[in-house]
Amino acid sequence: MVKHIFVLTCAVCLLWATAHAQSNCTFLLKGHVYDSVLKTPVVGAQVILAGTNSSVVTSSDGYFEIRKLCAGEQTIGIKMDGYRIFQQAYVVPLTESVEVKLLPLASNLQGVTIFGARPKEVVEPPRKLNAEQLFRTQGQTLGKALEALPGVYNLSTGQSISKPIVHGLHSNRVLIVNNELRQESQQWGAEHAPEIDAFQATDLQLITGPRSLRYGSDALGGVVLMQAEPVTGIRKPGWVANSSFFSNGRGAALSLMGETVWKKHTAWTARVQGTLRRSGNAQSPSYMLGNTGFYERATAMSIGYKKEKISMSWHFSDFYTRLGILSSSHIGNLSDLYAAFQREQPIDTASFTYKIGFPYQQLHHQTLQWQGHYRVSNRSKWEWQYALQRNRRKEFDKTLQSQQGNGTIKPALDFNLVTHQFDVRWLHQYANKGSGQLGLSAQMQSNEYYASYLIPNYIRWQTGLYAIEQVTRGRVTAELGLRYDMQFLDVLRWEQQQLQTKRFAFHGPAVMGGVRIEWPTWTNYIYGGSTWRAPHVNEMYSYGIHHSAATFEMGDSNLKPERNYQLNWSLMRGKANSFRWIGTAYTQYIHQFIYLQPVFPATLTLRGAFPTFQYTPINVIMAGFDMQVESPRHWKWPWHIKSAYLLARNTETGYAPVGMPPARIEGEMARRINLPSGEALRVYSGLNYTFRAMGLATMSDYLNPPPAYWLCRVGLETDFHWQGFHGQIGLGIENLFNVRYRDYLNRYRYFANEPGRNVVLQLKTSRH
Amino acid sequence: MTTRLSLKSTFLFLIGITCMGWIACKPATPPDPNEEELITSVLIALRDSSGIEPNKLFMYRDLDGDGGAAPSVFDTIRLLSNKTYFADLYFLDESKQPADTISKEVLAEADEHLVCFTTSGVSMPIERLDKDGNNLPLGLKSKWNTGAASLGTLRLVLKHQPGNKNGSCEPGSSDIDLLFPLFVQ
Repeated sequence: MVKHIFVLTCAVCLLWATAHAQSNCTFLLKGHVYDSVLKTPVVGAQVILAGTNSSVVTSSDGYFEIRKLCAGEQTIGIKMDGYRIFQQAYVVPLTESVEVKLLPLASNLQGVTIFGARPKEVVEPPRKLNAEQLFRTQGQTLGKALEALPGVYNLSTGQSISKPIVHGLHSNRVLIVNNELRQESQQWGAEHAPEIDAFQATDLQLITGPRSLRYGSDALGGVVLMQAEPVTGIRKPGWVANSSFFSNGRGAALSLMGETVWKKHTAWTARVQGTLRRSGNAQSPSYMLGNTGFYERATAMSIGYKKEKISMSWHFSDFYTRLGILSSSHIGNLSDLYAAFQREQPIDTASFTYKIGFPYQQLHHQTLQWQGHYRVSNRSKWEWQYALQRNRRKEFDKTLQSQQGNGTIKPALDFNLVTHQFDVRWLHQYANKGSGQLGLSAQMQSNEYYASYLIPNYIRWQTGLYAIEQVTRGRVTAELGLRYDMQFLDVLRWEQQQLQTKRFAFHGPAVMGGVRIEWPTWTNYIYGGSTWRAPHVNEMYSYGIHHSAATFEMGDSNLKPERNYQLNWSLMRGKANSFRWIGTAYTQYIHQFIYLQPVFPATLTLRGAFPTFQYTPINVIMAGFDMQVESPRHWKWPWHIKSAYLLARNTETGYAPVGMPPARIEGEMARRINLPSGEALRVYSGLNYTFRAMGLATMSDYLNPPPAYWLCRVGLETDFHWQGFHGQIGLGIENLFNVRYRDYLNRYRYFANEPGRNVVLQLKTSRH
Repeated sequence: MTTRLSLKSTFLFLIGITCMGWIACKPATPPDPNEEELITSVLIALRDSSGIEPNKLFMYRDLDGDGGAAPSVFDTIRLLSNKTYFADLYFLDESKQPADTISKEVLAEADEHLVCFTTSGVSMPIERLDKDGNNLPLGLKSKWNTGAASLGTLRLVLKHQPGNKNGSCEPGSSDIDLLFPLFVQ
């Protein structure tokens, strides 16, 4: 330490002299700080300019900049707990950005997971939300947050229910993995949102390559990974407070997170988090959307233990939500539906209220999870996990049949889904630039219903065995993933007054492989393969009226698994201080794609005749292109442009299947203004253009796709530091011009316009 | 070594549990569909005002509910011309023993329900005779005035209008929507 002070003092003296010689103090020194082992950005490191009091803290992507530097040699020191102090002199002006690698302290290094802690993209380009995007989307739904990624669209049912649709696929074809655990809920429904508190994630990314096989072979669309900072990595007490306020719906979201290390036994760490969200009826430009409020309450608790070779963590989370369903979208039959189409605006004119009336969904998701890592050597590690998830979904419609004797309302649907998950994997590293993982995952899931029949009771056993290996030779990295899955499904249901049990068995291999070729400025990613998905029980056995769509849906128990064959090619250009350019072209053929297809005749019921749809295998070919261009974020006028285009066709009819996302282009431009405090204020404005969905057969849907629309947003955001607090503040306006529009992938499009202008205020503060 | 041993035993334990479960686990028994409340039948009981003709009964009956087997009874309404009839509607759940009268619940929640009649091809004014607590029509009781002999349809709709009943058939969702053939002789 004395030595450091000495060096620093010398540097200070030297600088003092040079500083006085130069009067031109307008230069900038900028760069990124990385962990030299993990290669991840180091957040919150203190960057000190020697000889001054000025210091800055690295942002969430490890970025820092020091302004108003004088020409000549300047020394910076970087301090961060758990890392060796870094010191280096630079000659200013320096045009390129510097890259600093901090060396973890030895005591630290032992516990640091060297590989495999988080799946890193190897043969696919990174699709990850950056810190700004993550901040801006906090307090929103997961589907909305992920829309910031190219190729991801938001499949929604109003403002509160949304899920990601990746390259045209969604629901059971997109896995959501929260803290390394497959989210298991009634995800088959398009109007069933994942029961996850988006505030808990500090890292949100999408993977579609060989590494996605780790989580299952059924992710034909991809895997959405949500991660919090590992609980075993907590090094000192700290807290984070997040809040968002929305004008539309007069909503608010508050989230508090606190974490600590045991004082006496530093191997033990803990974190608690709690979130509350509440919103009333949303407002479309010309009318109130009746019964669209929601309430959400989430708590999570984690305990970590890390000692030498072993680390373990326990997580418990509880998520409860009540989501109002637009009252005018709940209709009795087809004539009601057509009457609803004819109306300029929904007949149920509502005033603003926080009260959630009928119909609504009430969801409760609980997770208990135990994870462990055991490091055999620096080249070999075991990981295991056991998790229990319980998902209770109740949907309430107020009908004659739902009145109970005691005056309460019986839910129309009531499911209890219990999932046991067991995973074990072995990670290994070869001496010569290669690594891999070998794993087994097993799952037992049981579904029980207590109200009306929609899907039967079942128990499903699933076992998968996988191996994903990668090797690097010079500029080429190759990766290959193999997986074999086996599934048994026992279904118990009433059939003509008789209880019938039926067993189904599905099994099959999945393979995915690819290469990454690095050229000096361009990186090429090529990957492809074939995976499969067994039909879900809803596709086999659902039978009944779907109220929001006024359709009669039928399953087909003879369905076979669907299988895809895909090829992806991405090109990325990315240098530290230049444009980042990612283009992806992909094509996918899905054999026996399970699709809800109209059948004739319509089903005659007491409520009239209903158009009837049956899950039918069709063959689909899809091809698309995503593009993203980004200027460096520290530029004075940073900007980005993103676009996505998808073409999907039923090979038999030549028409697009219903529900494929339309093309979209999005751009944003900002101005960075340096505040006297040393922080940068970003003032941005963005445009979003969504095309009309094309290629659909006439009469394939009740209403033609809505027309294309423009949306505009403006806002400002900045980091701040105040008395040891670190934070971010943002104020934005979405749908600035209060445009009336309907979105093709919002189920409410049949009934009502999208919400109008929304002013969002966000504040995040933390102390570590 | 101890760690390794415990790992191994944990693994064996889990495999054991899985195997046991494999043999023992059966899906839970689903609720008996017969216990679910259902409207299976709609009855229109007509009383001739002059009392000369016997009472008439017309019916729609689909005992297994939506889908499955087609409705077993779907009557044509046959009436005499230039008469006045008084109609009583009954909604029944005949999938149970004894049958459950659901129209009682409609009556109990009169302020949320409305029966709507629409005729086509036949001139037959229908007047609802009963009212809910807010003095808005209900329609379980009605008066039908037949005109000249003709052939057409009668559409009978039970609207559920929680919180937005205003006397018109526009709001709400349809709990019943049946199109009866109508024959005035």
